[in-house]
Amino acid sequence: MELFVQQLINGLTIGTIYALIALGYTMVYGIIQLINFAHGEVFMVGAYIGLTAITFFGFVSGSTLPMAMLYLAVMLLISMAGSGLLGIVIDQIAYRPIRNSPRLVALISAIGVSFVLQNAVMLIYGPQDQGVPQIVPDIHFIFGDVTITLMQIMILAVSLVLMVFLNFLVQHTQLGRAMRATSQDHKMARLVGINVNWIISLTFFIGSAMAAVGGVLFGLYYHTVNFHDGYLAGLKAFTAAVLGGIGNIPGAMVGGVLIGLAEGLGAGYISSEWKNVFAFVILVLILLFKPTGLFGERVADRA
Amino acid sequence: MLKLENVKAGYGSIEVLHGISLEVSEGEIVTVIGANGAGKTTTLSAISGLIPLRGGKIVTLGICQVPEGRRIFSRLTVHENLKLGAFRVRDKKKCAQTYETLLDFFPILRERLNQPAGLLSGGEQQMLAIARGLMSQPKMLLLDEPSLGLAPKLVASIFDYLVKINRSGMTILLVEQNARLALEVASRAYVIETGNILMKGPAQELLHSDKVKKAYLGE
Repeated sequence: MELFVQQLINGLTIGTIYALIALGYTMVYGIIQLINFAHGEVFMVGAYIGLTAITFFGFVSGSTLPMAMLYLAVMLLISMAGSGLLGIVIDQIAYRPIRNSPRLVALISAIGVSFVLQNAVMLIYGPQDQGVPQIVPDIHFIFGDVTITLMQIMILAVSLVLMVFLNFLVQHTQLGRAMRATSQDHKMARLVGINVNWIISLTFFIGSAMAAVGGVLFGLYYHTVNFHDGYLAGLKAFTAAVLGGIGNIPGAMVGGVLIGLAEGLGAGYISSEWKNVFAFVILVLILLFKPTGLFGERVADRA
Repeated sequence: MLKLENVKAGYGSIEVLHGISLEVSEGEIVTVIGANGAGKTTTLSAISGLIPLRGGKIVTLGICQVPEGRRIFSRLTVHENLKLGAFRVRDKKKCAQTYETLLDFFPILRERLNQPAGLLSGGEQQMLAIARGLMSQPKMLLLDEPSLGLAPKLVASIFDYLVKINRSGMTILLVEQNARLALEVASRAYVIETGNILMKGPAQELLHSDKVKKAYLGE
């Protein structure tokens, strides 16, 4: 039982990070039907921007809790802004010029961007792991045999707040309505006066900023980042988006958490050596038996 | 209210409109009829600014296009569709007023406000498309094939609505393949063929002209 609860907590923690990344895949797919395979790299760049930001501001280990929270906030905001802009730039350079080409062309372009970003980061920071300082104090809450760290609580809290905010934005504001309208019909969206290109840029910004938050939290959780971290995390988050039903925002959130839980429980009960296998087994199963994903059911699109 | 002078437009290397001139004055229903591929939708696209002009000029004032095939946002609710119609309207109070007036005018939409628009029937979707257009508080409505894909009874009801909307002061430019119906409600009409205006005149006159009868009314 203790093992179960412990792995549930661990899985939930990493799952919310996957969920944050999955949002970008699903939002971009929703709006331009593109699988942005460079998105995992945006997550990784987000982690590096966060690391650079606290290095720049000269973080000293052992700060008080309020100070630590301030540092975390600064890290997150700078990383979100930087990665968000990176997302827009990627769209402008790599996708917009080929917007009307066959989808495979954009997919190849995405893989190219992915290589460019990985290698750029490797050239700038070097190929070795970069240590991420302990910003959030290393506090453990122990309940019997189950431990939950302050860092885990922070990850859950930050992710939850962002997802609630994003859901509100998309479902209940005029901007969100415009995003959903654009994802359905670009031409009609233009006819009602929506600036479609602007909405696409905004979508890239938000999706990339969410991934950046995931990247910063990921770095703080594992205390290290590497230029190829985006590859595996990106693929797992992509799996999460497919699991939830690509294009569906709540689906990406649920999908991410489920992938994290599968990984946590699989590592706990089967073998942690096989940790990375579980997500992709799920991907294969989903594609075989329910390619639309859990929430991919569409309301009738009558012409 | 709307004036096209010798408008030329097309897609890629193909010129579709070879110099269209037409005019709509305030309070009129003017219809443009013609066969498939004559250039009707292209004319509307040029007026709405969806495609660039290659010649001539267009003077418009507060137009709103209700496109062919309705193109409602099917996964959004009826309410959200209407709200998006007013995307560019900054005056919130007037927007709320228009919203209420339209729901009184189309009571069926009020009953289905929170349903996804894709669940509406074809006729209801056409009403929603028209109402969404009117939410932008245009001076003039451009309608592209409002009868498309609707049962004859529903078509009649949609056209009744159009006449009522016109009586309340809205200028309408109507593009239709259903020539008879369009000519019956319109005051003036243009016949368009392969990108040129072939005939124009009072709708009643065209309705009884032998040429129109033969080519478009199937008599």
